[in-house]
Order: sequence, then C-alpha cells, then structure tokens
Amino acid sequence: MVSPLSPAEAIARSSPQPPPDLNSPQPTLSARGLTKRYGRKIAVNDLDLDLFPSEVYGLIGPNGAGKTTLMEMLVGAETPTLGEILINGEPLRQDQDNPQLQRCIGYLPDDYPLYDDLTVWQYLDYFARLYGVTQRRSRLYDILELVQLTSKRHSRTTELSRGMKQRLGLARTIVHQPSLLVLDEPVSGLDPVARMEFRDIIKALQASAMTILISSHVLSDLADFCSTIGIMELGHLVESAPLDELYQRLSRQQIFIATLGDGAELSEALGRHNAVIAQTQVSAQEICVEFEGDGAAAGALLRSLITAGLPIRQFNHTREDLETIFLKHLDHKQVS
Amino acid sequence: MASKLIENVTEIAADYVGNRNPQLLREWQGRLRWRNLLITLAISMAVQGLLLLQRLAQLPTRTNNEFYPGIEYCLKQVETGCQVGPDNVPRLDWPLVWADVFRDLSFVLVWVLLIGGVYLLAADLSKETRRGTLNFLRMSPQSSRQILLGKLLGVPVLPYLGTGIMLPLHLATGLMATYPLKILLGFYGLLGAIAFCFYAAAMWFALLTPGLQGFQTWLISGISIGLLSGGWSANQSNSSLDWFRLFHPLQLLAYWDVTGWSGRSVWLFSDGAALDGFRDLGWFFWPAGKGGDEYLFLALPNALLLGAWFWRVLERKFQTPAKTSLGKVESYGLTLFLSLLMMGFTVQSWDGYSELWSYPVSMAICAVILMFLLLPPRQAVLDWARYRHQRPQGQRSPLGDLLSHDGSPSVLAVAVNLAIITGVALVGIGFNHHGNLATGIATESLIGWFFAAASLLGCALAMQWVALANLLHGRWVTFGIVLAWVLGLPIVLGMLGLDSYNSPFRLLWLMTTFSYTALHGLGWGDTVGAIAAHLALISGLSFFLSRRLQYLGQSEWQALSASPTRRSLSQL
Repeated sequence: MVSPLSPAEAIARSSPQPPPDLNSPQPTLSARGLTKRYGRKIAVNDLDLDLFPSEVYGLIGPNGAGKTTLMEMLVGAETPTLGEILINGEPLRQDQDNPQLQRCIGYLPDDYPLYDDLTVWQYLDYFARLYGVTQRRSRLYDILELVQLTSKRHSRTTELSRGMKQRLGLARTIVHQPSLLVLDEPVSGLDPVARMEFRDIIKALQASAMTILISSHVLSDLADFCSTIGIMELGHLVESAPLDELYQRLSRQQIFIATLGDGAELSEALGRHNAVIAQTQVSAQEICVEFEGDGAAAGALLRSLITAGLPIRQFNHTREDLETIFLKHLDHKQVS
Repeated sequence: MASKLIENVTEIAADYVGNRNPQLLREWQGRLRWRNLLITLAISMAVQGLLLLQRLAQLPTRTNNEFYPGIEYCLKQVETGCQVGPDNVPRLDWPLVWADVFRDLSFVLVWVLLIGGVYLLAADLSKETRRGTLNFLRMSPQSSRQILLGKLLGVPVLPYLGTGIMLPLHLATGLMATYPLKILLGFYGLLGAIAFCFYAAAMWFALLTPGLQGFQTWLISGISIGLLSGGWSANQSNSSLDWFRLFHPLQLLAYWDVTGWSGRSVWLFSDGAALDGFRDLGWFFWPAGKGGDEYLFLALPNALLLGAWFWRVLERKFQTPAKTSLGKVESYGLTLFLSLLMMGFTVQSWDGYSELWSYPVSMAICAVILMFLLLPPRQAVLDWARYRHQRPQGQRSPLGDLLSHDGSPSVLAVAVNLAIITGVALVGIGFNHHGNLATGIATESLIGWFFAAASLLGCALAMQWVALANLLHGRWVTFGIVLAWVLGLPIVLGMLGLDSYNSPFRLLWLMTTFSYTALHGLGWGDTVGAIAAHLALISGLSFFLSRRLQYLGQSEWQALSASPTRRSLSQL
C-alpha cells in the first residue's frame, strides 16, 4: 500500500534535478539559426533561443506565428531545414537514435491522442517502460497523485473527461523525469476549473527545477508562472526577455494617490520625483501619475510622501498586464 | 488462491516481456483480453474440427446394398467400390487421409498468418500514423528496431495464437501422413521467412502512404492476396514470373506427394497432380525445382534477404518520415538482387524473341517503381540546392550527393540502377554464351534494352523536372507524366497505325520503352538516329533541370534574405 502524497511531496520525491541555477553556464536547450520552411512559406526563420535550468519560458504569438513548428523542432519531432539544436550541450538529430538525449525531453503537443485500449495505469506504465524508468511502481503512484488521477488508474482512457485526458497527457510527458518539458497549448479547450488544476501542476513542476517551455493563449496563466516570455511573429522571435524586464520596458504603470490634505501639496511633492513622468488631477484630493520604475521604486515613492508628512489615504500601483502588452504589439503590427 | 497465483504469474511474465520490449507488452495488453482469447480459441478449434470432419466425411461408408461409395481414400478400388478386408471393413489409405487434413491445415495456416498478419500490421501502423501517436514512439529512447519488433510480434498476436493452437494437430497429421520431418521443419521455416518478408513490406507500405487515410491497409492486403494466389496458380514459365512461386510455402509440400491408388492427390496441387513443369524450374541453369531441398535453398534466402531489405528501409522510414521512401544506396542493392533473380529465371530459355520480354519488362516495371520511391519531396530538393554549399568542405561533392544524398535529385541514382540492370543483362548473355541464344538476337536484345533504358532515364528527368514545379496536385501530375511516357506514347503510336518496322516511324518507336517492337531488321541509320535523339533528349532535359535547380536555389535564398528581419518590441 502506497500512502498518498501531496503534489509537492510527490514532485519533491520525483525531482532528479539539483536546485534551480539560473546562472548555469550551460543552457538546457540551445537553438542556433533554426529555420523551417514548407515550400515558399518560412514557418520559423533564423531563430536563436536559450533555455536555462529551471527556467519557465512562455511562448506567445498569434496563430501561424510558428510556435508549434518551433516546439516540434526543439523536441526532434520535426527536422529543421537549417540550424542546430543542443540539449544539455549535445546536438539533437532526428535521424539518429540518441537514447540519453531523448530521455531529457518531455513533449505534450496541442492535440494529444491517447491509446483507447489501455487503462490509465497501463498507459503510464507503457511510457515509463519505453523511457526505462526505474522504481516504476512508486513513480507511477507519485505521478498519478500529482495529476490527481490515482482513483482513475484502472479506468480506460476513453472514460476520462477532457481535463483528465490532458492531465494524463502531462503525466505521460513527465513520467521519465525529463530535464526539458515542452508544452504546446496545454490548457486549450479546458474549463476554468480544469485550467486552474493544470496551472497548479505546472507550478509544482516549476518547483522541481525542470526547464519548461510552454505556449498558451491564456496569457494571464503564463504571467503567473513564467520567468521569461518570448513573442513570436511570422517565424521570428521578436522579443525574448525576463518577465520583469518586459513589464518594466513595455508596460505602462500608473499610481493612483489620494490624500486627506491638500492636492496641490501632493502634486508638488510628486513633481520632485524622477520616476513620475506625468500627473493627472482626478479630483481636488486625488491624483493619477504615470510612473517609471519597479515595485521597489513605487515603495520608495510612498515612503517619501509619508516622510514628507502628507496624509496619504490611498496608494494604488497598477501596470498593464501581459495580454495588453501583446495586444499593443499586435496593434502595432497591423498599423505598420 | 488460484486466481491470485495466475495474477502473480501474469504480472511476472508481463514484467519480463515489458522490460525487454515495452512495445510488445503494450500490444499484448491491448489485445490479449479474455474475450479475444476465448473467441480465438473457439475459432481455431472450430476450424480444426471442421477440416477434420470434412475429410472424415469423405471416407467410404456402408450402404444398404453394401457398396462403399467415396473411393478416394480406399487402399484399392474394386468393382463394388472400395476393397474390403477379411473383417468386411473397407481398407483405407490412412496416410492419404492425414496428408489431406495436413494440407488443409497448412492452407489455413498460410492464409491466416500471411493475410491476417499483413492486414493487422498495416491497419495498426496506418492508424497510428493518422492519429500522430507514432511520433511519441519515435521520440522515446527505444530504438526503431525495438519498437518495430514489438509491433511485428505483438500486433498479430491473435492470429499467432490461433495458428499456434493448430500446430499440434498440424504436426501430428503431417507425421502420420509420412511427411519427412525435414520437409515439415522446412515448411515452418519458409512460412516464417515469407511472413517476415510480407509483414515488413506491409509496415513499410503503411508508412509510405499516409495520404491514403487507411485505404493502404486494403491495398496491401489485396496485393498480398494476389501474390499468394499468383504464387500458387502460375505455371512455371522460365520467365521472371517464376519468382512469384517462391512466395508460397505450400509449394514445398508438393515435393512429398502422397497420391494414393489413383496416382492423384485429392488435394490439388497447382495443376492437379504432381509438380510437372515446376520441377523444371531453373535458376542460372541450376535445377531449383528438382527437389524440396533445392526449392528451399532458393526460396528461403529469397524471402529472408527481401525481408531483411524491407526491414532496413522500414526502420529508415520509421526513424525519419521526411526521408524519401527508399535511400539511393539501398536502391542499388535491391536492383542488383532483383536483377539477378529475374535474369536467373529468364536465362533458362532465352532463345528467341518470344522470351525477350520477360527480363526487360519486369526490370522496366521495377525501374518505374524505383523512380517514384527515390523521388525526393520538392522541399528536400530545394533545401539541398540552397544549403549544400554551406556544408563542410569534405561533405559537398556534387557527384557523391547525387549518388547518395536523400535530398538531391534522383536522376543519377535512377541511371545507376538502369546501369546495374544492363550489367546483369550482360551477365545473362554471358551465361548463355554456350547456350542457345544466337549472337544476333543477343545483340538486338541489348540494343533494345539500351533504348528502353534511355527512354526510362528521360522519363526520370521529366518526372524530376515536373516534381520541382510548385503544382497543386504535384504527385498526381508526376504520376500522369510517367504513365503517359511509359504507356501512353506507345499506345498512341499503335492507335495511329504507325508501323514500328518502317522508317521514319521506327525512330519514334525506338524512343519509347517498347523499343523492342522496332528491333527486327534494324539498320545503322535508324540506330544512330535513335541514339542521337535519345542523347539530345537526355542532354536537353538535364540542362533544363540543372538550370531550374540553380534558379530555385537562388530564388529561395533571395526569398529568405528578403523576409522580415528581427524586430524588437523595444523599438515600438
């Protein structure tokens, strides 16, 4: 009898990775000059990408931008027309058997069919054997616990709901403890509850030092757990930066400040701050400012206002989310 | 208690199998369910029972007036029917009875194993290709060989079980029918080798034709049925067609003829009795049809070598689906193998025009099939044209590329294959130096083949040229071009009533793959004219093809250069 584990415990037991090392000199995945053409159409064009251990990289872009083609090339399911892919420093080639390298990769595509004639347990056991997983039994229980399918282990895969199937697909993808996990639109078509469950699992995996590349159209989810964001457009990676940097560079920030005292005094105090770009008087005691700087800078601004003796009643710091940044980018493309 | 024991034993066995070949375990887990097992067992036992009863029902029985009709299995025939012994019981030829039961069972074994297995394997692989699940197997650390072996042993597991249950009765009836153990074991070995060849071919075919959306299962099953039927019923002809007879394991059983009092077996082999003409089967003047050993000596390596070759190209296609159906280097070996086989049969009676058709026609068909299998996808050729200059210095020999690279145009490879066929034709003529082939006929046959080969090379060039055009239904257009070139042109010439023996129409006929029809009384003028015309056609098409490749390589580079460059959002 195997005692049930919490997802965090399960993943901690299953984690083969050392603690996250964002400064690791060797990327888990490195792509150079990656190009894929279908006839005259260039799906991916001269793309460079580095993913470091424990990095969660969110890939966004409009339909047809080349995200799926890129992912397929990165896992070896598609041959690049040109370019090189290195997994843990070793070149990945589709026409060569390289078991060591293939063990490092887990891939969950957008539309993932399951085998109808197997039960959940048989299905996972099959893939665990394919990948030569040791201590299979306990590993399968851990994984089933993580994806909350333990009670369904004897059910046929046809009997599962869409969300369960998606979780089973993810379980299959991580059963061999890959160091690189590539997820293509893993939450598409799921209801909000299933999406939330899926997001929790990804967060648990994130804690296990896996390098994750994930694409999704639900950008709020990506903003929740991605450390880096890449934006693809017409086969190019037009933007690739840590999420914080992206917000700082591209997201407009606003601070709503209300005082119990004099609005003019507040305005004067704000005018002395370099991070404040513009001010808009909302009412006699309320001002909205456009702000440039991170959370710490906003904190410093609040501190300085209080130190100056201003009776601050309300201080709300907001910024544009990832979706707005992306939509602004699309608008720009349409205009241009 | 017992069920617990069974469960434990099953688990240990599954672990043992799964640790060695996970794919095999997966296939078994999907198929070996109690319901399937019971149905298989029931069908197998029912078939055995019915076949046994069918033969036993033909035994003579006592009637009211004490006649014994049903004389086939009597030891001796008398006026009243079956001869009876002192105990008034008909004297029966039991070995003949068992021989016929044995042959019935053998027939079922062959058809169920070969056709059932081919159908199941092709259906399984085409289904996995359609659903996209094969990609996950490719991406696993298991080798292609392990996965395909698991499929081979696991997918047809129910036909294996069904026929396996028949084996004890099959072996027992064979021995009671006085069949030598050597022939029985030879039969099993040959059946296994032919099944391996058929299965590998079926899996390869299923991977080659994903666009047929599952129809390939029926197609390959139909082809297998045709091959088995042809191998059984075709008469020996000292031509390439004799090759098909090597694909039917039942042929081996006919070498031990249990025929009874009438000299004829109730179970009909081929043309009703013994092997007749088939015993004259020869291969390069070696008496391949003389006895069971000789037949086995030719049929077993044929099936094993062909099976091994199919397996090799299957692994290649499975590993990298984007590759051509057949590698250029692999095609040379296959052509040599098939050419030697065909020539070996043909050379036996190569004594005049009537036999001239066999080798060149069969090899021309082979060459046309090779053209399709070697034809690289348009994208692969464009990539090769565009990027071959970027490869390291030692890896960019144009000749080496044209002979072996997957993405290069297939024309030179087709030319090499045609040269191999021509070389083997020369060997065949050399073999017949002391035979009955007149020098004039040998020369004419060679000239005929040269022209046909030149026409096929022209066809390959045209095919490659069309394949490079960005057409909507490129594959079908290519197919149409080949069909028109190889068959359409001679048909049109024939329908127009243009006589192949008269100049200037003879020249037109010499440009077709049916150049043999214009050989009789061929003069120097027509020969030189035809050679010049072929050279002009091949040179012209080669020139246009290389120009097109150059242009496409450059224009693709320009397209790539002109594509949007990197932009950063920070520039917004």
